Amino acid sequence: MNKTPSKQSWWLRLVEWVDGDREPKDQTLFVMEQRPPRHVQRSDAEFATQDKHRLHRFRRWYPVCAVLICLALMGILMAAVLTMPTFGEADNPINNEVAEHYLEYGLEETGSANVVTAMILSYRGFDTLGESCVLFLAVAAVMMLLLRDEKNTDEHDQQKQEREDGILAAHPDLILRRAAWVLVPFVFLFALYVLLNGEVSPGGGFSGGTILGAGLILYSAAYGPKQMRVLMDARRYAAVRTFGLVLYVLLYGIYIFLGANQMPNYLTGMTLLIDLAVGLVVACTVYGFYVLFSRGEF
Amino acid sequence: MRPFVENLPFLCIFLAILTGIVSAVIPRGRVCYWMTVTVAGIIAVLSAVVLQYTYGGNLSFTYSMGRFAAPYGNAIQCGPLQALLAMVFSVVLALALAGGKRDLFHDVLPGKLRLYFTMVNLLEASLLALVYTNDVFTGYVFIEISTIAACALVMAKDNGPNLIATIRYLFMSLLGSGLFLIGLTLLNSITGYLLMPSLAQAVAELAESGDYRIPLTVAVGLIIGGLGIKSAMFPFHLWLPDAHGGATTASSAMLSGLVLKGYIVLMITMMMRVFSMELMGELGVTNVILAFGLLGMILGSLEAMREYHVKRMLAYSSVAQIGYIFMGLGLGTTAGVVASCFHILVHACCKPLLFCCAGRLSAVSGHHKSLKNLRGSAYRDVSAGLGFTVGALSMIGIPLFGGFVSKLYLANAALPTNRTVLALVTLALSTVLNALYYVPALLAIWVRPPAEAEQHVLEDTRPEDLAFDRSFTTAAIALMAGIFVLGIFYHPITDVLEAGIALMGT
Amino acid sequence: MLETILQNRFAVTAVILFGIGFMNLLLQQNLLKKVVGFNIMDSAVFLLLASLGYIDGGVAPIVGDRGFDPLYINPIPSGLVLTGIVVSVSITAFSLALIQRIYRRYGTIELWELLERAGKEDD
Repeated sequence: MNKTPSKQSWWLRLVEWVDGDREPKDQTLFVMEQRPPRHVQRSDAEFATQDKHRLHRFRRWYPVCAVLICLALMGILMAAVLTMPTFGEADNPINNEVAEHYLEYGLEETGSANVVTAMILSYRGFDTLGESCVLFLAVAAVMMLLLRDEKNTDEHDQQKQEREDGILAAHPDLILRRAAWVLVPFVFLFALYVLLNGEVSPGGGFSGGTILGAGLILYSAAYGPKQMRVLMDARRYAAVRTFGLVLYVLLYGIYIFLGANQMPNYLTGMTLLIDLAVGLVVACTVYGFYVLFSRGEF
Repeated sequence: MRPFVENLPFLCIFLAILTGIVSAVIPRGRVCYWMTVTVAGIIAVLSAVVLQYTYGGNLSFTYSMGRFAAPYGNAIQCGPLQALLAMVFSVVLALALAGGKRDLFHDVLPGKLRLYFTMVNLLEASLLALVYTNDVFTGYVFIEISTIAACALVMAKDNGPNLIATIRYLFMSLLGSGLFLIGLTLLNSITGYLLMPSLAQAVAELAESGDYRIPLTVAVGLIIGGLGIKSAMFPFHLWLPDAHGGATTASSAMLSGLVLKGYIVLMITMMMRVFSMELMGELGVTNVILAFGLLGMILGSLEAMREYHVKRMLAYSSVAQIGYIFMGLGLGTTAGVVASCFHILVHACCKPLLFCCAGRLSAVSGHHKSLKNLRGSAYRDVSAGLGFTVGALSMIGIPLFGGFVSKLYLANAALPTNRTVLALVTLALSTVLNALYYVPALLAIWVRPPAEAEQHVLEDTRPEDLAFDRSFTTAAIALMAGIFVLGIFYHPITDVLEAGIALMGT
Repeated sequence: MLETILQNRFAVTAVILFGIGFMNLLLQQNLLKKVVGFNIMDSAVFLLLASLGYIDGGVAPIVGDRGFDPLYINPIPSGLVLTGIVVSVSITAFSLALIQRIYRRYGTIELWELLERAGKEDD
């Protein structure tokens, strides 16, 4: 760049600029703007000069800064951690009356012997609701990206997919199929067990739902998409997913409404239903990720 | 038995969540659009009722989310400030959608519109929750919802540069929320609470006794820093121009006008309700915020001056405007916070207006975005030109426009502190810089280019883009009205803000 | 000093892991490796969080009739970690989907290359 432009040209440029001719510093770019846009194919060389220059400068300094920031952050965190309450002591500030209350009255107040379940579904259920929404959103975002449409799929991809399906249909994997035939019922049974026993044992909606989703994935992998569509097509999938979360939101909404207004608790068996709803959401999320990443359609 | 009106904030959040879930299964984009706008309108009305109730009674109520009271269960807290912010946010959300409607239906595939509206609705739910929350961990969860939804809004246009901008935005956001979470963990380990009132008490005790000084300082720093990264505080703004400049119009408007504000509001809540301004000043955090704010005001504007892509210019201008907000917070006084909150409102009206108008102006110029190609475009859609002018003048800070009042309040807040000169000089300099890039932009859109120069732009323009855009014009007029209301009838609004901030600490 | 480190061994490990993850997130140019770095970082936070709730000699907080009253660990951090893990899984899936699309579009997932190419398309 010219460091000492003549005074007049500098003034002219300012006048032009104030007039709205916002001329970028780089003259090459300015020339490009004059051509009919949209159809312009700026030449690579011109870009190389402009963009690479900027990127190179950034690239040189970036690692140095990054390492410095990282080391500083680690130092700060280490200092904080070393002056933190000691690990494993019973009289740490975190073991205060809130935790004691959960342990002491959790069973009585929520009907669930597993205090972690009691906490995430009753005491701090709003967080868990948010968490389920995160799962729902993640599937929606992945769908937005990977669900097949005219923008992200071309002929080639389509053909490749069909070819693979054809091969899979012609030569089914016998071992996988037999194993899945034996395993899938038990996986589902176990999922149901974990789901329904979340109140009294380690488990609950999240773990049970994941196992359920894994069962669906196993079935889908062994029997192929065609067979899977009989069990769960796009429509049914959307219905189950929506139903799970809507059930959860409605139940929890009523629960909050009753609780906050000090009305009698009509929803005594709610934890089980909510566990079930969470399980459905999680299973659909896990299975949805698998399907979207592997095929992009249900 | 509590009055029914106290249920409304919680109902608003749940309404937004439910609409989001349901719109994921509605195949028709237009139905989703109307549903979303209607629900945002309903939420605005409900919030107005809450505002009237809380401001009229000068009270701030805690609403336990469930059966269990304060330190045991979740809770939300609502006062005049929260209700006002919720109302403005949902109105602006609806107007941003309306203003970018045509671009939206043009940019997003019809099959995926329903998912877009899912994102919008859950974004609204997360904004409301961030405004109302009285629990830091709920804050974290809804920050993540807002992150995913915001990233999805950026990538909805679905072209190459957009995907790259999204992934950069995502990584930066993850960094921010990671820091926030680790700060939260440290804070929880030394206090043992998650609910803000109990947390505030524990923090005050720690500050007094001097125990766990280092973890406390680090936790405060990490929480503020994490939220700062997410709200594009100056040195962490690198992701913003690509993300906001490249997205579809409605997304840019919502991201710049609302999403950044959600995090800032949470930061204000943390500062006022948990850490207290005195502690922040003592730990030196306010000085850092002030420094970053002042730097952002200058350097954001300088970056904007270099841009010729109109939306990226607006995005850089957001960096500068966020700097104003942080400057107000960094002054460490209540007056500063009031000024910041007022600026949040002003910017929430201005930036969506500017983005919608820029989107419309570029639509009538064949979807070109560089200022060169936008010359004379204001005559092709006069309402867009007027809207852009109003927004730009407000940004510069001309009297009668909202931006002037917020600058006045910021300057006023700076007077009693010992940083008056620094703040005032930066404010003046930043105003000049704002004028230096908004005035050329205004001239560009209002000066007719020679006919032959206009020709090639018009060749690219589709006739249906030139047709009158009803929803855009409505939205632009409403947002312009908002700016004038903020600029002329500002006294009642600042009264509400002052009352709300005074009630926040309790 | 050494004693403090040994006492807070989980927290110290967490900080080191956090540093490794953070460094990966910042310095790796391969997007996939960035995601891995982010996951390491998250795991570090979860380790720190989970270690907060542990009490020496405590058992899992499932109350019931065991005939005696054991010492339970603190249930709150466990619940928070659960939430954190779910969020982290969702975000990982989202970023992987983004990377898959970017790869299909550009044929590379090196950030520098992508940035150089993306500039050319911006109109």
